[in-house]
Amino acid sequence: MKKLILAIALLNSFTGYAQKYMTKTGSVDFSATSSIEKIEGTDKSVACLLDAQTATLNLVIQVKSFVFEKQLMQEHFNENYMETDLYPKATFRGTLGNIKSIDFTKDGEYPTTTNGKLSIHGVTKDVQVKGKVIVKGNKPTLQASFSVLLSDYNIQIPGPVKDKISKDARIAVNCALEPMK
Amino acid sequence: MTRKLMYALVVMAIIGVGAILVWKYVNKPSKDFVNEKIDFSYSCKDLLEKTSSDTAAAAQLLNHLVGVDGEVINIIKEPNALTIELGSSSSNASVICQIDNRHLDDFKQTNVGDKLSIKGKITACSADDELGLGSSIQMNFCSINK
Repeated sequence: MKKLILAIALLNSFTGYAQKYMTKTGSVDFSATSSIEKIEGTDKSVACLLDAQTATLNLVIQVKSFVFEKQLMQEHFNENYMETDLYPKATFRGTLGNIKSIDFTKDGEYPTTTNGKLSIHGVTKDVQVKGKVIVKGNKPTLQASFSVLLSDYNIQIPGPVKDKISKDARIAVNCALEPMK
Repeated sequence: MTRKLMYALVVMAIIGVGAILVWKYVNKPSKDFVNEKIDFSYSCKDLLEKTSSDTAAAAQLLNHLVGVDGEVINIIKEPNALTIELGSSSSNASVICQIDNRHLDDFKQTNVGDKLSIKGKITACSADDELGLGSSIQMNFCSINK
């Protein structure tokens, strides 16, 4: 019996040790769809690091990796709006609000609020994002969806296409994390 | 048929053809690189070494169509999307390939541990000193490098 308790304690100490979770293949969906045109892009190569001990959450998005269905949309997104040669990365650095309420060893869905700094197109703003952490088999998946005003990040929409592009972009994040080795 | 009517028909035809051309240009699908010739070819290990040690070389590869041979270390399948990570289990460095959704069927039989040759357009080379996740190269519109 003592041996069994010792083994369980040892196992718990190992699972508790995996304090950092990461992925390099997280997903971010971008939509600035208006009533006139569907404008959607996806990037499936987002780097994300969550430190469960300090509750810090970092995301790095290589903006050029977004994929659009239409070639012209892809070109305009990179060259005219996001100016990816000048601003190749978008980042989020924040803190997961209620990390202590998340049991990374117990399957479940945990609502959370993240506060941090979102940098897009060379502009950094404080943001608060509501989302959830879904734990399955000791692996957390972060999911969040929020909107940003394009003008807040100095993204200019030229007059002729102003009605075609929504003034705020919807951003959906989905990062299935693995314990960091 | 009067001359005026003739002119009107010609003008309408020109406007019609113009509208079709503009519509085609605006709605042209993203380029499919499956039959395009690659600019460079590397093994996954060589490419990662080259880009992590030489930032100028990494910058030169951006926007080029590159063929990469390597071992599949991770596969992320989603509805109408597939991401394949090439690398080695002994290192965090990897090449992340967003597969062109017109060619998902070519990867139906792909499993972790398989050796693959993939081509795609390089969108980012990151030494990733920011998060400490290892250097990475990102490619999109990827397909099998035949």
